Amino acid sequence: MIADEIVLSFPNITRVTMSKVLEYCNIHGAGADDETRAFDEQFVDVDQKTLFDLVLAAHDLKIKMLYDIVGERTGDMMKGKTPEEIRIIFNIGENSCVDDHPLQKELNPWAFE
Amino acid sequence: MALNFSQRPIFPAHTSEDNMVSPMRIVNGEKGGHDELRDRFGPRREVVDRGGSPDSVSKDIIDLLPSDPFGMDIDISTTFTAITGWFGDMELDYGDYMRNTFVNHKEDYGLFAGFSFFWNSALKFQSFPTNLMFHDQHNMDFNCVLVTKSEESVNDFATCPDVIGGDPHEAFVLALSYLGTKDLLAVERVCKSLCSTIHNDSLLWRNLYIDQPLNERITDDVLVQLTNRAEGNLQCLSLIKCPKITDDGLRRVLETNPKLTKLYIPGCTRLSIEGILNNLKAFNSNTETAGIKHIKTGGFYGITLDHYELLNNLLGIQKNNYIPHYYHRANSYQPCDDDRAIDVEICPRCQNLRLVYDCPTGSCQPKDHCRACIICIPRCAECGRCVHNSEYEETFSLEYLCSECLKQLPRCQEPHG
Repeated sequence: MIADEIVLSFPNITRVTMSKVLEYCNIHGAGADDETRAFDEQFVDVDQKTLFDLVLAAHDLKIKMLYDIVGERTGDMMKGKTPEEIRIIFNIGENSCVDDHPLQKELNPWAFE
Repeated sequence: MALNFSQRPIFPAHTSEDNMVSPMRIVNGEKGGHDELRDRFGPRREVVDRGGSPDSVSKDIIDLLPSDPFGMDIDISTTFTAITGWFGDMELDYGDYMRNTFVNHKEDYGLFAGFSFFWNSALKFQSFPTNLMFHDQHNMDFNCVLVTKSEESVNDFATCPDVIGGDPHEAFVLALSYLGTKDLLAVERVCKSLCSTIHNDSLLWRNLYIDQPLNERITDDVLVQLTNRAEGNLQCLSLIKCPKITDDGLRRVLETNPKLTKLYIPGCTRLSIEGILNNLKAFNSNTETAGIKHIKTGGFYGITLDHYELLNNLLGIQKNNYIPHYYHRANSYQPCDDDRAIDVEICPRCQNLRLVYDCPTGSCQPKDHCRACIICIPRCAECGRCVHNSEYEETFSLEYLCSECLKQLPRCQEPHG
């Protein structure tokens, strides 16, 4: 017996991202093992835009496992980098969003001696 | 300049399933293009028509431009894309394809046409039973339609932003919780909005972990400053080999962070056992605090049995559940996951209060007799096995390696000749 039609609307998630999320969920449905670990490594090896889309999708859909691996991967892209390098990699303007904080360059000088 | 017209007809008569590219290029790819289509073909009429509709050919300049002059196989889409069924579990029957029905399919097929559907349109989607895959393996049969956000145009006409640097992406901010302290402080310097976010988000500062290279630089004042960012929600404080932190600094941190339960201070040479005990007494007796439940000292110099008993009392330990603890060069200062209340214990051999290790399974018989501090029983820095009963070598870094681990070390190549 076929039940009524169900419409699931995700105005913030693109088709491509959703298909990747579904792929992840299908693979991990049976639990973690070596295969899923290998799948995860290859799964997060994507370009920045796709990775960001996956982070947002996992956050919205509250899929913790997926959120952890893509979030960690995004974090890995920032680890060990100087502020200037991070600006270049992620295309961030130095003075975005006006705020009354002190000059960024002078923040926490003790950490960068 | 002569235009290089494509040889493809504007509406190909036989579009294969693998090549549903509309020659009606929507250059800007977004709603503007869509409106253009609606004007041409009337509301809610599909652009790509398998049967071909030559009467709709327009003489607009866009139609005369070549569809793919650089052979880039560009994807095109506009506004909403409706998806029937679930990906990865469907086999679509293209023999039943009907006019005015759009069936989207896996990315494997590459290009797809640009056109829009509205969910409440009069068009009837071909629907079929499908299986849903959930985490709990619950299978149901029902029709399901996923409506997702439109794809952004992937063509090169629109990708290069004119602005040199913009705001950080929302996902970037979500990933901050995966960064350590040093990286958080570096990201704080990237731009003002990130600075504000990192400074004000107390969740990022709930677990403070200070290790190389910040450990040598951090002072009492800086520590208090950083712990204040948690706004009283600091739960775990790890100071690994921080020589500048004093008892007074620790006292100030404890005064302003009543929710602290885990304190890891191995290798902080200016902290004395008496100072720790005094701070703990004051903190744990305060009714507003739950009290420290876990402390890792890394083996405090000068700790006596009396100190140990007092610590046990302060932490409210009834009886330590015995969990084997193995030696490795990396974990001597790392917070362990074993959730023990105190890391030191009485060494069964020398009766001093030190970190006590067990022998890994199967390597020593009887196992219970091979339990002692690292001074009584030296161990392999790699696998944790005791070395006095087997072959071992002392390396240049003054650590022991058993014969098995020695074999796995990368060796320099022997020089030829």
